[in-house]
Amino acid sequence: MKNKIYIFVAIATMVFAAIGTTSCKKDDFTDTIYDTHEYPLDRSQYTFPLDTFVKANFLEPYNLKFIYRMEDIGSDLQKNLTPADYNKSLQLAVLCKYLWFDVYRKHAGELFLQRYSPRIIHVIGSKNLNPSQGTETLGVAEGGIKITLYNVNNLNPNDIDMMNKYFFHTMHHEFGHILDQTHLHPTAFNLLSNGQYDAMGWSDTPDSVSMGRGFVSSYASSGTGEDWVETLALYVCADSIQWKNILNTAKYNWETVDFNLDKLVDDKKHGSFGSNDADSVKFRKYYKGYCDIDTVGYFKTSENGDNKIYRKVCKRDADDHVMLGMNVTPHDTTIVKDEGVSVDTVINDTTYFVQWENPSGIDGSKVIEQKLQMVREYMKKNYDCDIDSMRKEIVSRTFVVNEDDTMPTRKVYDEISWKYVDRPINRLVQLVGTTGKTLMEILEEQVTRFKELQK
Amino acid sequence: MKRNKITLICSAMLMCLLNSCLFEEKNIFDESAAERLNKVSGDYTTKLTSVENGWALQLYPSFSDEKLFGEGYLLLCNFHKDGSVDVTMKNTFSYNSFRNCLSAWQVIVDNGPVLSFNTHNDNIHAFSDPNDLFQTPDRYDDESGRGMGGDYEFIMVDVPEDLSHIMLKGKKRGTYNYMTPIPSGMSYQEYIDKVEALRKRFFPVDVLNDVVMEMEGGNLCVAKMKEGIATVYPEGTDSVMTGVKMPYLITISKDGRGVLRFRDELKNDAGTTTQELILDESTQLFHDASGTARLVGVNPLDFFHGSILTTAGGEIHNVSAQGTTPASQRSADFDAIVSAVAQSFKTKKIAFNSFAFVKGKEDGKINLKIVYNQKSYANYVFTAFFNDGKLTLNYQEPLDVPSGNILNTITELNGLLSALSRSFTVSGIQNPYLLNNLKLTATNNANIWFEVYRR
Repeated sequence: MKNKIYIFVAIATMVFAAIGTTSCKKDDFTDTIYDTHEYPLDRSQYTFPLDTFVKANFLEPYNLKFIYRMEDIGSDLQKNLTPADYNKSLQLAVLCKYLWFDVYRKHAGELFLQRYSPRIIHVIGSKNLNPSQGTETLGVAEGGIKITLYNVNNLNPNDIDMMNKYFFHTMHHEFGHILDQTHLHPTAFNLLSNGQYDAMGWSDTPDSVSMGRGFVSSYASSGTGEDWVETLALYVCADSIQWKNILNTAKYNWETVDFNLDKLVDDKKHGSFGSNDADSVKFRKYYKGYCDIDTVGYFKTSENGDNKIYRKVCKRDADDHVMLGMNVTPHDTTIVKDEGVSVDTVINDTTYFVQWENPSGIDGSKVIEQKLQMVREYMKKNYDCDIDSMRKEIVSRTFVVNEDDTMPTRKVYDEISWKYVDRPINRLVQLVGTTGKTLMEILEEQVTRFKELQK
Repeated sequence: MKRNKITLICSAMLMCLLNSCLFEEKNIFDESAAERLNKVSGDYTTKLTSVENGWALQLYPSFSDEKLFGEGYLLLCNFHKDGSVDVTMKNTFSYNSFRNCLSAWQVIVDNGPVLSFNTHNDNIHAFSDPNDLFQTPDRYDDESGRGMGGDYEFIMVDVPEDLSHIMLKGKKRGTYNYMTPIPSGMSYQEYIDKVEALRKRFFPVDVLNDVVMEMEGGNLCVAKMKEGIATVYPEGTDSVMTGVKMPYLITISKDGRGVLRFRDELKNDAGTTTQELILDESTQLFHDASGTARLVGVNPLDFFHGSILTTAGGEIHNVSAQGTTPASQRSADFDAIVSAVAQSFKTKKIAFNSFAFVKGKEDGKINLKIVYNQKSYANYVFTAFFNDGKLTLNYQEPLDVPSGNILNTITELNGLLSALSRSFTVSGIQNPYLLNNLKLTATNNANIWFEVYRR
């Protein structure tokens, strides 16, 4: 009996205590502690025009926040970074719309962007340098949601190659990661260059060498994921001349060799022959014009200060001079000798050629084409997006294109190959019709027109 | 049974202790933390824009002791209500030209209210851009990725109601950066010109002497003010062992007076502190508002003594006019004596240039060095006593035979030697901090005085 009383008291105590340990006061779940009011944009603000533009063209249609006023908390806290200039941010915003969002909307649809576009684009003014590796981070994609673009303060509409490298290529590259994070790329892609990837040494590998191994760039050789998005990004951004050059370069095997800087020949055009170490190929080029600068090589200093030469692989002698092949073509001719006597004879025409070699057995251009085809099929299957028409659209928006789809070109001196090369004409800085304004200025007006609302 | 009772009672007591509903804490604030922060942010925004002519920001990018990195930089900021800010400066980062840049700013809610310059400004972000610095060519590429390492976002730690100042703390580096209002009606060019004039007047780049902070309980020596980063150490101790680097900046107060402020508080062994000093034009001295400290020049007599006797090769000259170099100042009576000597040299077709005091061969002796024909010298030995606040000189003899021969030939030299054999007070000329030029005045004849400068 007594035990029963004790048990009853114990249970009663526990019950009352249990009731007592819960708060007896009702929690108020009505008002939040945060200010959730949506304030209209303040027209008196200096940044009103760009704020309005990004709201109307990114936030409202795609729920995308285009952050150009740098948020330190949202950046790489391990690095010293500084904000983007307002006017450069303005230019980047209009170019993002013109060369990225408008293109995807046209070729993949509005729904595609609403579903898959990033939710945040964060633009940073300074570069994101990695001094210990001698590299630079051009952009970052995080979790399928956010893309960060760096070096905005150096944006220059006159320099398409620079803009492609830092922004458009990077946008498509990072967007490619987002798409990849949503639908994983085919695993068969990873096998095409199996054993060729180098996560640590890619930064010391010239692009040409990587192309010869079947990568569109040296960064693509750092891993399968990067290879995938680089293939997509480079293809859609490259004009036909650039893409053709990539495939051309990729047809050859390339090698990197040590080079003694003291023996480097100074003359850029033909080479001086004061030094007895001048390459025999250059010598022949000077006299015969058959040789290729690619055999002499291009100079590159690696991060640890080693001087390297990267060049196409060809047949060489023990002294490392190119061994040219020879074609002898006899043909009949008539020689008029003294006193008007004609003699029929045979003359030998001798031509020399470089004997290219392929020790790896890899035809880089074929591998790249295979990779591209996989990208093409993936985009079509998963996103109903035709990347060839998208590329055509991007190219036509970036460069001047004739009505027959040919591209007029201009000669530009290439510092690497020491030659004048053909480059398409930058459409952004061309005057549009009779407006008296360049295309870039017209695009910028999409933002500056909001200044009217401030009056 | 007994054990059961005890267990039961203890359990019951434990359960009762867990009861939480009776002692719920009351809210201390009426609003949530987020709401309060937002309110403060708005309040500080208003305060920044309410000062009509803007603010002078004393920016210290880092705690480094190294020149350039550890120095203070003066930036003039005018915060506008439309969210834009004009930042003006003139220093090495603006190539020593007066430069103004416009960008956006905001008081954001981060670690408390934070003043953020969140679009790029060439002036404010010069100290946080991660680029290699052109000012350090001997350290090529060393700063890539780091730059100056300063901040562009600042926690607003102290914003008093009277807006006499605002104290900012660098968000990442933690340096304290003081802002004071710029006097109304003063243009930024005028402000910077005034600051530069004060700097040149008191601490020019060629100043030779140090200064002393007189404080209750013990003085501090302040060396190398001309470098912008002073070395501060207790008087009587070794600067190498006890010295600390302390940068400073000069600004202009609301009422137009010069203000000198060190980055951190200076503290002597007795615990007396000082940091900010105001210029009193009547005495040409900077003094603490509380009266516990003032900055004074070193004793001119001690400086004269040290310059000759402790500085290797130090000479203190009084020169006659040569080419574009004006003559050192002399009283009429003294000038007559010197002119007689010069005339006497001239009759011998010799040009008299200057006389100087130099270190003698023995302790307690200094030599009077007569310079003629630019590179020829005659030396005469004086005893020199530095006591009772005066310098007492007494001519002894020529230093060597050639000097004796000169004396025998130029007999007017005896007049000069006699005129110098007396007691002199030594005083500064321009201001107490600048002792490059000194004035020696005979204690028994105020009409005998002359100026000297250290070569």
